[in-house]
Formats: sequence, structure tokens, C-alpha cells
Amino acid sequence: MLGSIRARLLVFSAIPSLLFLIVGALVVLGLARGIQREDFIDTLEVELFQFVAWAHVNDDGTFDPQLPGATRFETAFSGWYYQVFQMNDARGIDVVATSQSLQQARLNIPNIPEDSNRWFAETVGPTGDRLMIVVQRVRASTLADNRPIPNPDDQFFIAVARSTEPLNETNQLLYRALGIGIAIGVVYLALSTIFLVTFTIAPIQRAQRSLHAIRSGDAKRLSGSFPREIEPLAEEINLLIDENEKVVERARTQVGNLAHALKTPLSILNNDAQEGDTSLSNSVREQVALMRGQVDRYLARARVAATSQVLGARTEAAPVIARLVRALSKINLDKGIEVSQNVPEGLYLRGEQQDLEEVIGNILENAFKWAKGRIEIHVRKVDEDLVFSVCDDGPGLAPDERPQALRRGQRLDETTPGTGLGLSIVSDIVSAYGGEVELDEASIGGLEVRVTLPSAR
Amino acid sequence: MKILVIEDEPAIQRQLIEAFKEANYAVDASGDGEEGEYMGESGSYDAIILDLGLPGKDGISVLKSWRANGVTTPVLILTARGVWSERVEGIDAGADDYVAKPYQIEEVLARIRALVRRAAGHVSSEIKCGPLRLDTKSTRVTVEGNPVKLTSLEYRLLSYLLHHIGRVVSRGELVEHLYEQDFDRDSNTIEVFVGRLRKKLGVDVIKTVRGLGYCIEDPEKVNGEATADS
Repeated sequence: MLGSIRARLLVFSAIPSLLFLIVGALVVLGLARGIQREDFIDTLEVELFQFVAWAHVNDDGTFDPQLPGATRFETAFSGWYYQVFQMNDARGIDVVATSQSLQQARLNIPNIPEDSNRWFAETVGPTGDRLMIVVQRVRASTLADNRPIPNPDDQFFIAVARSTEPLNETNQLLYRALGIGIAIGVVYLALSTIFLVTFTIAPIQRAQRSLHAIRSGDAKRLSGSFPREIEPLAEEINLLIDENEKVVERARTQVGNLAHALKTPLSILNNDAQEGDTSLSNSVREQVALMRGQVDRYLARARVAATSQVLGARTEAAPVIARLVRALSKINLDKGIEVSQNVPEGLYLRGEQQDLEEVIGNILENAFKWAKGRIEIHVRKVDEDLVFSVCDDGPGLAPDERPQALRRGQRLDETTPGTGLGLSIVSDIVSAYGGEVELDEASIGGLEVRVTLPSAR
Repeated sequence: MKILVIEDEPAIQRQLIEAFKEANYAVDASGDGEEGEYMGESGSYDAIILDLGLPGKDGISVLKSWRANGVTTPVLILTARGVWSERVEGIDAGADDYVAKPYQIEEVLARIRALVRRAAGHVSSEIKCGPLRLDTKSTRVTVEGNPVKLTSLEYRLLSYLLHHIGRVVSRGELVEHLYEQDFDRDSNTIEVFVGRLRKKLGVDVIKTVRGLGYCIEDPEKVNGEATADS
């Protein structure tokens, strides 16, 4: 997962931010609720203290139920209630006074702790809503303002309750506000992360596209401006491409030199061996022919291998073919061969000009050798490939002779001069490009050679 | 028939000279670009074999300056790299044909024969004149089917006249095209050779045009004209 920069940016930027946002929201929520509850309890206590201050017992020790109070204690089921009660011997509750808001109902008092004089509890109110209740234990003598009463040690409990409904309502508001806040936060985070990722990755993707263009032969070097972090990488790649070209050029020169160095002595040996008819001269002739075949084959292959390493090479087909046709027509002028070319402009081979020249040159040379009066050349683009077709009206090849013609050092015709390597070199070069050579019967009667090579855009 | 070989590799030069002499050609040779260029401009050759990789001046430049100076002699180039751009460059510079190294001598011979023939306007490798036939490929001469044995010089003489059939060839031109550069030339010997040749052929095809030179008339054309006249 961390293999991608996009994922890293997400993991190390968006996810912590999101967690921070959520934790923050929870803290705010907790604080808000705490403060609200505190406030709620404070109001309740203030009411309680008022009631405690107002409450008093009659001289006979009974509680005086006439208590003042705000209207909210008088409106039926307003959510504000009070209740004064005493504990009887059976630990039951004897109510001595209630607020009008309670009507006939009574507050449900939870267990009374033995050891505290004031406590809070939650209970269910007369309308089924939740109440927060605060209860104060008061001695009867306290309520009698030090007047003598018969039962100074009696205990009264004054309970003030308030519905927590408003609390829920404000909580709802709080939740909604927080929800909206979090949603905005998440959207903001998502957008900023997308922008961050896009703008951070954009130059990398640009570099990638540029590299792809080099590999597919549409560009020679990495171009455009890159951020400071990527710039050195682009420079290094360009240097690497230059170096690559130099190495290939050097290899090619050396291969050429080797070819020159080997071919001349082989020619001399071969021609000297033509003189006699002894077993030695025969053997020399045979071996020289083999060596020549091998040298040509491996030189062609080494050259192609070096060539296919060159990045970014592209060659337009039309000018190369036109030049070859012009040259070959000139030297075959006396044969009066008519050449028709159907080569649209703007078709590019993903490869070196020299290789295209070798392939088309050898095929055309063959066609000129055999044609009676007509050669047709077509090039067309099929998907990602260029298909070159060269037809002649010569004798052609029988289907069973065709595979042999593409094999190394094979000459089907021993009487016409030539090394016989033409088509096998074509086959070597084309296969180095991952292409294909097919031999077929031409519509104009002779041989059709069809070559498929990769196209550059 | 006289050819010029410009090739710096001594062994190859020797092989070419031997092979062409054996095929009854007069052969001049040079191993240097500048010398070769001069020879090609001044001598009258029927064809030139030019190696592209030469010391002094490279083959392409030599060829270009020949063509620029109006030398129209057919030129066969020998290419060592065997890459097509080299061949195309050579042809664009004015070459008439190419042979890629490593080559077989027979191939070079065949190409030169074809170039000489083409320059003279002949299509077939066999040149006919009445009962006389000359096969440029096998260098055999027959009269009414019977082989005639000729010396190298006699063959060259007959071949040159037959290649330029119907045209009057001066003695000077014959000397230029029959003898090698360092040969002691004497235009009087031409008459001796023509006399011997007439004797060996036994048919009267070589006419003497007084004050101008010699000519082999094209019987087909003569007949054609005769028919037109009558």
C-alpha cells in the first residue's frame, strides 16, 4: 500500500488530520456537554436553595405547604417540579407538599443515601420524560427558625426536579453543529488532499509521460521544466540518454570497423581460392562462404541489437523508400521497370533509419532482380504497426520454397550473383524489432514480401 | 575494352587486375584516390571500378568531381560497410552500380560487362553482326557457329568495334581503349591487328573508312535502309 506516493500522502497527511479532527470534535463535544450539565445543575441548586429558604414548619411541627414559586412551578407538567416529603418508619415516603405543576402526580424518588445531605439523581417524571432531581435533607428545627417545635429532630426532604428535555434539545443542536463542522472538515480535507496529491504527483506523471514518449519514439529527450526535487532526476535521465546514444554509436563504429577488417581478407581468400580445383581450394571456398555468412549475420544482429537500445529513434518511411527507389531505379534503368509507390507521408517507424534502409533496400534489391516490368510498394498503418508490402511481377516463389528464403545463407538461385543473405538479414532485423516477415504470392504475379514493424506516433 | 581499377587493398587490386586481364580487358590500376581521379579524367576507359574507402581522397568525392567535370564513364562502386545509405550515397554521387564486399570476382565481372554493354546501348550479353557473334559473358567469338580463336588484343579490338556498331571509330580512339597506360603505343600496329582479325574471321565485317578509322556496319540497319530506298 505504501508503494505509491499517492497512498503515502493519504496515510501521512489525510488520515492523521482526520483523526485530529474527530478527536477535536469529541473533546469539544465533551466539554460542551460538561459545561451545559454544570450549568443545568447550578440552576437546579439555585432553585433548591430558594425553596429551602422559603420552606418552614408550623408551630405544631407540620410542614407548611404554602410555598411561593415562579410560574413554571405552577403550570401543569411544565418540567419544573418540587416535592417535600418525609421518610416514614417503613422507609416509605410521606409527601407533605408538592408544586402545582405536578398536579396529582408524585415525584419518584430514587434511593436515599444515608450519609449525605444533598444529592443528585435522575428519575422519570410524570409525563415520562427524564428528570434531574436534587434533594436536600433538612432538620425540622432548621425550618422552624429556632422556634420551639415538638419534633425538632424530624427530617424533611426538599426535592427540586427539572426535565432534561431542554438539555437534549441543546445537545441536538450541538450534535448538528458538530456534524456539520466535521462534514465541512472532511470535505475540506478530502479536497485539500486531492489537490495536494495532484499537484505533488503532476510533475512525476509529466516525467513519466515524457519518458514514455521517448520510449515510443516520439521524443529524443526529457523536456519541460520540473520542480526542484525532480529537476536533477530529469537531468540525469537526459545524460543517461546521451550516454546511451554515445555507447551505441561507439559500438556501431566498432562493428563497422570489424566488418571492414574481416570482409576484405575474406574476399581475398575467396577469390584466390577460385583459381584452383584442388581439395584445399575447395575447402577454403566452402569455409570462407560459411565464415562470410556468419560474419554478415552476426554483424547485422549486433548492429540491430545495438540499434534497438537507442531510445527515442523514429524514422519517416516515405523519404527513405523514395531515396532507395530512386537509387535502385537508376542502376536498373535498362530493365525499364515501372515502380508504383503508395507510401503516405507522416508514417513513422519506431526505429533507426539505417535499419529501415537495410530492410527495404534488401527487399527492393530482390524485387528489382526478379521483376519483369513492375514493382508495387505499399505502406499502411495497422493499429500500432506499419505494414510494408513490396510486390513484383517476377517468377515468385513456390510456397514450399518460401521459409527457406528467409533462412540464413540460403540461396535459392545459384546462378544469379549475390550473397543470398538479403532476405535472411531482413528477417534478422525485423525479428529484432519484434516484427514479422511474410512471403506471399503477389496480385501482380510474382513475390510479395510483407514486413510488419512497430510504428511511432 | 579498357577498365580502371581504383582499390587500395593490394591483394584485391591484384585479383581484379588478373580476373579482368583473363577476360580480355586492358586494365589500369591505382591505389590512391587523387591519382585515380586524375587517371579517370584523362584516360579513356570503358568502365571504372571504384572502392569507396580510399586513402588520399575518398571514393564518393572522387566520383562527385568526375561527374562535375563531365566524366560520363560507367562507374561500379565497391562498398565495404554494405549499408544501404552508403550505396544510395554512391549512386546519388553518380555511380552506375554497386557491389558490396565481400564479393565474388565473377559478380564484379558480370556487373562491369553489363555496364559497358548498357553504355553502348546493348541489351543482350551477345552482340550479333550478320554471321558474327560475340558473347561478352564467355568472351567467345563465333562465325556461323564456328568458334574463332582470338588473342586478348584482337578480342578487345573486335569487342570495342562491335559495342560501337555502326559508328566510325578512329585509330586514336582504338589505341586509347585497347592499350594499358604504360604500354608503348604505336597506332600503326592497329592496322596489323585489324588485318589479322579480318583474316581470322574470314568474313568482311570490318570496313576501313579512309582517313577516319574503322567501322562495323549494322547489317540490320543497312538492310532496313536498303529496303526503304527501294
